[in-house]
Amino acid sequence: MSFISLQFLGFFVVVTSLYFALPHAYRWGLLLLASCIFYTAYIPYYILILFLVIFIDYFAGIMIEEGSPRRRKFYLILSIISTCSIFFVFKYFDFFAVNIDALASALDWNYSVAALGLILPLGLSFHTFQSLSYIFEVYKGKQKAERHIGIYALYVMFYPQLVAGPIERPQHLLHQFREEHAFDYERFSEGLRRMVLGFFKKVVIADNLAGYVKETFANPHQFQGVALLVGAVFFAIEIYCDFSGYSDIAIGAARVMGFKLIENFKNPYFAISIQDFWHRWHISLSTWFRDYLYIPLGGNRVKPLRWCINIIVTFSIAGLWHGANWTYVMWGLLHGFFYIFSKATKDVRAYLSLFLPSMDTFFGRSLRRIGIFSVVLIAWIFFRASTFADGLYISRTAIVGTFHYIVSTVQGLFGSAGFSFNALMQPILEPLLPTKHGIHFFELQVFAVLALLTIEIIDHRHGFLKWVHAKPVYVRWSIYAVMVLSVMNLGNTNEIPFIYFKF
Amino acid sequence: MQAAIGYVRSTFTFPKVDPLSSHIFLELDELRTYLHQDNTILYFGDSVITGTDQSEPDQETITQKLQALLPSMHVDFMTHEAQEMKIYDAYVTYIAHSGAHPAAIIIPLNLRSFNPQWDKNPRYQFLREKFILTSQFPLLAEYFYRPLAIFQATGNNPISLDDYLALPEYHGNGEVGTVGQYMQFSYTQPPDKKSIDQFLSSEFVYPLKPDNAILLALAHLAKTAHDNHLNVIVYVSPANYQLVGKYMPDLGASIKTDAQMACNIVKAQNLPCLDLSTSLDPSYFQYVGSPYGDEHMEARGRAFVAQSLYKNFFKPSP
Repeated sequence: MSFISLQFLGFFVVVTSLYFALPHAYRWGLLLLASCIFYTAYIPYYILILFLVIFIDYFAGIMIEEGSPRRRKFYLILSIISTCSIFFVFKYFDFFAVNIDALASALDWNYSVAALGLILPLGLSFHTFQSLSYIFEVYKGKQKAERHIGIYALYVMFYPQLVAGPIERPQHLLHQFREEHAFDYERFSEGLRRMVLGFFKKVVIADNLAGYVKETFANPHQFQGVALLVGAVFFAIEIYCDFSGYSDIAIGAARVMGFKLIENFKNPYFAISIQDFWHRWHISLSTWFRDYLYIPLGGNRVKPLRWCINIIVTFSIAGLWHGANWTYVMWGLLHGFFYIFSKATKDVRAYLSLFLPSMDTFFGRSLRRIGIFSVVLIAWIFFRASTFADGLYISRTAIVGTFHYIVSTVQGLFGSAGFSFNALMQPILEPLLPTKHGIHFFELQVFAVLALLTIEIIDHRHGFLKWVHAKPVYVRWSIYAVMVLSVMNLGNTNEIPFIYFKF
Repeated sequence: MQAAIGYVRSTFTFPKVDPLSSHIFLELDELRTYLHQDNTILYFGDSVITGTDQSEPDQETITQKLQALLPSMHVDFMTHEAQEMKIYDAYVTYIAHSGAHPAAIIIPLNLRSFNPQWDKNPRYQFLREKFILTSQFPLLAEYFYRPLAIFQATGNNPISLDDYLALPEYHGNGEVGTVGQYMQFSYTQPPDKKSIDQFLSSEFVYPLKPDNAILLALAHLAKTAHDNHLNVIVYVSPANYQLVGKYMPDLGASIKTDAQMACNIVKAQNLPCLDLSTSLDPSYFQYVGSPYGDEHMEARGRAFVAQSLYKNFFKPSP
C-alpha cells in the first residue's frame, strides 16, 4: 500500500482509531495484523519471505542468547547466512549471473548461469537489515532476545517503516511495543504535522521534479549540458524529498500512535564536509554500516592503507545495498573516494586556511556547502544514470556544457544581439518541450525548488515544524493550509512510486 | 523509384495539463448550456467533424452543413483531440443522469479509432473528463478530481508512455510489432505493399473482435441511451480505403465487416446506425496525395455526410 493513496489514508484512520480503542494487551496484535495487510497490498505471497526471515532470526536470537560462546557464534553465522541468502537470491542473484556470464564470455569459457527473474520483494533490504541488527545486538549482549514472537514480528514488520525504513535498532523500538501509549493530543497533532510535511515533500516537490529528471536521464544525448545539470540537481532534490518525505510520513504515522522512530535525515545538503553529509543522509543506514561493517573491519583504528580499504569496502557495499547495478557501486565508490580524499587532505587544507580568509562566516560556510553539494551531485549522477557510460557522459557534458552556457550567456549580455531571457531558458526548458509528462510547467519545478530551500533553511536554523508551531495561530494554520492545498492540487496524477521502495 | 516521404509517427506527446486550472472543466459548462436549450442536436466528434482544409474555398464544416439543413434546430458540437468512444459513452451517461433529452445525439465512429495507437494513446484517455461525467456527483467530482487522482482514488490508471509503446499491433489476426515500432516507420510515396501493410496495421484493426474496448464502450453507450430513451444516432464515418485498396483488394470488405459489427451492437438496442464507411472514393477526402488517407473529408465529402444524416434521420416525412 502506497502512502500516497486514499487507501492508505483510510487504512491509517482505521488502524489509529482501533489502536486507541483497544486495550493495551491487544494492540500488538492489531498492529501486526495491520502491518500484514499493509504489506500484502503489494504481492501477497511475498509476505511468506518476510515470515521466513522473522522465523529464522527470532529463534536465532533466543539460541544466541542461551548458547555457549562457541554455539553463540555458530548461531550468529547461521542466522546471517540464512537471512542474507534470501536477500541475495532475490536481490543479487541475477546481477551476479549476468556478470559471471559476461566474465566467462570475456575469458572464452563455456559457462553460464541462468537468471531467476524474481521480482524483488518490497522493502527487502530494509527489513533484512533491521532483522540483522537485532541478531547483532543480541550477540553483542546489548539486547535481550525477544521471547514474544508476535512482538518480534512487529519489530520487523511495523507498517510505517516496513518498506523504506528508517532501519530501527531493537534497543530503540522493541520496548516501545510493550509500553502503553495513551492518546495524547500534542503527540497526535505533532505526528499529523510531520505527515503533512512528508506528503508535501513527496507530492509537491519530488513528484514535480520527477518528469524532468526522467527525461534528462533517459535521453541524455538529446539535451544540452545545462539541462543535464538541472536534471542532476533536480534528481538530488527529488531523491531527498522522496525519501525524507517517506521517512517523515513514517515517523509521523508512528508518532500519532505514540511511537518514536529514529530520525533519518538532518538537512543533508547543508553539510560542510563529506563526513558531515554522512551524518545527515540516511542516518539509519549509515550508522548500520558503521556499527556492523566498518567498525568490525577495524574502523579507523588501523593502518592508513587498511583504513582506506575499510572505507572503500563499506561504501561499495552500501552502494550495492541500493540495487544490483554497477552504477550504485560506482556511487558508493565515489563517496568512499571523497571520504578518503577529505580525510587525507585535512591537514593540508587546515594549513592553507591559515593564509585564507576565515571560512567560518556565512559566505564561507555557503561556499563549503556548495562544494560538498557539487561532489555529492556527481555521485548522484551515477546513482541515477541507466548505465556507467551514461553516468560518465552526463557528468562530463553537464560540467563542460554548463561552462559553455555561462560563457555564451555572458557574451550575449555584452554582445550586439543583446540579452534574451527566452534564449537563456530555451536549453533548460528543452526536456519539457516535447512533453512526455503530464505536468510540464517549469513554474512548478521552480516552486518545488524554492519551497524546499525555504523549508530547509528554516529547518536548519529552528526546526521547520517547531518554527511553524511557534507562530501565531493564523500564521501557522495558513502555512498548514497552503501545504495541504498544495498536496491536493499540485501533485502529479501519474503515480510515481517512492524511489526507495525498489531497494 | 520510391522515396521516403519523411512521415514518421514519432511526434507523440502527453497532454498538456495545467494543474492550476485543473478544476475547470469548460466542456461541462458548455454541455450544460446546450442541454438547457430546446431543439438541441448534440454532435460529438473530433477534427473530422470540425476540420477543413485551409486551401478549400468552401470552409463549412459537417456540423455547419447540417445546421444549414436544419435551421429550426441548434446543432451544437463537442469535440476532442481524438475520436474516443469512451468519452462519448461518459457524456451519454452524464446526459442520462441529468434527465435531459436533447432532440438527438450524433455519434460518429471512425474505424481508425479501434487501433491501440488511438485507443490506448495516453493523450486520448480523457481520464478526468470520464471520471467527472460518470460520477453520481459531477460537481463534487469536478472539484475533487485532482486530489483524488494524486491519491490514486479515481480508479483510473493512466497508461504510461512505456506501456503504450509496448502494446502490440496486429495485421489480420497476427501480432506484427509494437506501437512504438510502428511510430518509427516511415512511409514511401507512392505507397508500396510493405508500407501499406505497416500503415494498415498502425491505423486499423481488422477483423474487429467482440471484446474490443471501443465496441464494449459503444455497447454500453447504446444500452444507456436505450434505457434512458435518448435519441442516439450512430454512423460509421467514410474511410479513405480505396487509396490503398489496389494493394489490398479485400480491404473494403474487411472495413465493411468491421462497420457491420459495430452497427449490429447499436441496432441490438433498437438505435439507428448508418454505415457510410465505404461510400466515398478518394476524391472526397483531404490529403489525397498521402498514402495514409483518413476520414478527413473535403467539402463534397462533408456535404455528403451532412446530407446522409439529414436524409436518414431528420428529413420530414412527405
